[in-house]
Amino acid sequence: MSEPQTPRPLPDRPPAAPTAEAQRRSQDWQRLAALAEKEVPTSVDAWRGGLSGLVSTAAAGLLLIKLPDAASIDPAWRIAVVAIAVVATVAGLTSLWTALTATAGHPATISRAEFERRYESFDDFSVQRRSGSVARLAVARGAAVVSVVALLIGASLLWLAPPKATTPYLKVRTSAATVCGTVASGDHGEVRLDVAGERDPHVVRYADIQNLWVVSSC
Amino acid sequence: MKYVHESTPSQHWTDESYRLQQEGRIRTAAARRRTGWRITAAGPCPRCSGPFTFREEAEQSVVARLDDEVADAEGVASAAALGDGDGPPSTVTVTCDAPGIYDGAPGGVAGCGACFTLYVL
Repeated sequence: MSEPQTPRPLPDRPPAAPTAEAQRRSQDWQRLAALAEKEVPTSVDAWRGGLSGLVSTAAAGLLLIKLPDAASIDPAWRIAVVAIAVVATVAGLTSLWTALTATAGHPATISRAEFERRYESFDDFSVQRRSGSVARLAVARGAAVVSVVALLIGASLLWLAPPKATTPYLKVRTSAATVCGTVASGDHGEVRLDVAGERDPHVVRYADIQNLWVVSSC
Repeated sequence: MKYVHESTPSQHWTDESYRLQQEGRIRTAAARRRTGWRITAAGPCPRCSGPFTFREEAEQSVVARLDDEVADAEGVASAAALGDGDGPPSTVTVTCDAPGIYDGAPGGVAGCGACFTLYVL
């Protein structure tokens, strides 16, 4: 919405002609307007596509961190795998983000005063923007390398990691009952089983055992 | 007509544009928008007589990273000088952009090259 200005009377004398500096500044601002008219819609489109890519990558990273394979390996190795997966995901997102800002730019609003304060000329604006894009692309490339290397290391660790050590349980059936627990001892003709929730071990004589099984859980 | 870029605009074309403003053939307008003043002008160019149009926004959207610096007192002062204060600027610098073919015009440049000052009424 715009609010028109109440017309002012025309002064008695012509204004002074523009100085060369005023001419250049005015023309630079007009060139910027013409450039923005072409570039901003393209940039908005690029951001729309790029942001959906970022969201997909973030989701893939979260899935990677919750890999079921990681749950079956040794806890110390699992911490390393998850940490590397986090690094790979963060580096991947950083790479995508900086590559996106290098190609699509940052649509932003600038006043003429600020434009003239920041940039010597329209050409200076173009040069600064180009060098900024090149610097961001270098960051994007570095982050992509970090992400790929971290992914390779994480995948290798998953292959090489020893499986999680599991506590074997013994299930013993006698004529009186079936008992399941960890073996505390097995000498003197009897087996002592520590049963969860009970202070004292169950003692089962070998002679009373009808059957027994090694199980992974009771 | 030949394209002529004046490295320093002459007073002559400003005087001519003033005369056209007096005659009501060049019109200017200022409208306050949320982002500042929008200045518009239109009429015959004082040099080539082609119909020029002019529009200048106090702010515009560009594709550039601008969040690495903050506005300082100098920027605020400049903004006031350009009309971000209470009223619109009293004058604007206009370059002819009349459609047409002008001998010797640089590629992508419209108009005859005349540059002049207009009062914003």
